[in-house]
Amino acid sequence: MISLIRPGVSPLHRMPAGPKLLVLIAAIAGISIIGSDPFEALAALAAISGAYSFAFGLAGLRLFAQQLWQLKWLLLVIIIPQLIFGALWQSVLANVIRLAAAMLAATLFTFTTKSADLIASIEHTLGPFKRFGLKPEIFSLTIAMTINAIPMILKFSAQAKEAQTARGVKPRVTLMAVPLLVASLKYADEFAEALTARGVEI
Amino acid sequence: MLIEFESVSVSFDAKTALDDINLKLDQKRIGVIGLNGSGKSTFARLLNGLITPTSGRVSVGGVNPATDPKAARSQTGFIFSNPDVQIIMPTVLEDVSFTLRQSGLTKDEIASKALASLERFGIGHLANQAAHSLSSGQKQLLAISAIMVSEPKLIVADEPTALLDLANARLVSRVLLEQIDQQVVLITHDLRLANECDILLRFADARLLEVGEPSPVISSYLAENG
Ligand SMILES: Nc1ncnc2c1ncn2[C@@H]1O[C@H](COP(=O)(O)OP(=O)(O)O)[C@@H](O)[C@H]1O
Ligand SMILES: [Mg+2]
Repeated sequence: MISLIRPGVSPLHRMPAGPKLLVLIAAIAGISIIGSDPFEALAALAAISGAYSFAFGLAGLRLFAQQLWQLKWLLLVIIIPQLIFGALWQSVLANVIRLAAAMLAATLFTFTTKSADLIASIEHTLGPFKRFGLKPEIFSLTIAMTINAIPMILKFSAQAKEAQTARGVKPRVTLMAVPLLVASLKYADEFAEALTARGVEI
Repeated sequence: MLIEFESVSVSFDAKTALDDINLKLDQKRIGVIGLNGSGKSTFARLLNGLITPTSGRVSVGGVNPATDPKAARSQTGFIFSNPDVQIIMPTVLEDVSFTLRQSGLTKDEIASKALASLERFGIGHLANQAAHSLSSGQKQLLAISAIMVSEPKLIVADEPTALLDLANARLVSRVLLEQIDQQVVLITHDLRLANECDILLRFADARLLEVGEPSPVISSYLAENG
């Protein structure tokens, strides 16, 4: 799930990245302390959908629905073990809705914030720690790289799958682990070199 | 800039990657050819201090990349073969802007310079796209835009078209050889391209076998390996 800035002129878009990040953290903290009442969780989810339409108008609701639909497998993976281990269905439902609300809130943040702004604000916030030898650039780069790593890993796994299919093996997760790891390490190695060449001191 | 190598050797453990290289170059288009493993990439990486000599001395425009890698890297832009590994920031414009992060310019100035660089290399319309969604050819143009935005004095390209299809390979090499005013060191297996350089270096088994006008160098390369 890679999401990127969707241009807009709403106050959410114009809000500086740092305070917006604090609001996001507060919202997620709020969502996570709601009890196991599915209705409270639903109310939180509704509030997030409200934030989407606040940022993008009516199109925001469609975006909200789209993003929620994308979470389906993840949510399913989370529901099943809880049911198996005998949790109350009400609390399972509440958990899932809460999780969806929190993830959609985070996604909305990335939709309305340029990653460069986020990065600049992190560097700014961590600035005072420079004198203790902390390099804020490392933190912000980590975020950018994490965003970039997602499409790369998807690409590697597609390649590993293809290679296995081509050799007549039915692709299996266990068989993918090694080629995926090798490809990732090779990528990390070359990426580090490219970073150095562009003047980043690691 | 004057590129100077004085008795430069590089070894990795027991393996010699470059053996006693001596050079003085100031041509604008410097081509490098040779079989795989002959030492081309090692030569390229000495120019910006990604690799340092085991013995001997390198000087690029008076800068020693081994002792002053920061200066060497800011005067040199490096293009790698793999288009994917060069992307640092998530979107195209951000990636080019990243180069100017310590330039002291304002955010708006950086963004407009970055956009101008993208437009110069024909991918201005992709500015707000996710960098990883670009085609390989477009990614190489992005890498070029990101490097050129800070106006380095030297461009080193290590097989920049190796992973591109024919049309994109042509496009990217045309950009490197014709659209850039700076000095370019181009490592390539494309002998047509090598032939367009002002001077050609041929490496074989860690040695600099030949330096000179492209066509005789290419002829002997073909004769020995054809
Ligand atoms: N980091 C390294 N560690 C060990 N050996 C290396 C390393 N880099 C290059 N070599 C070896 O040095 C030789 C020259 O490599 P390289 O300069 O990459 O050649 P080319 O680019 O011409 O293919 C090769 O034999 C290669 O295996
Ligand atoms: Mg090489």
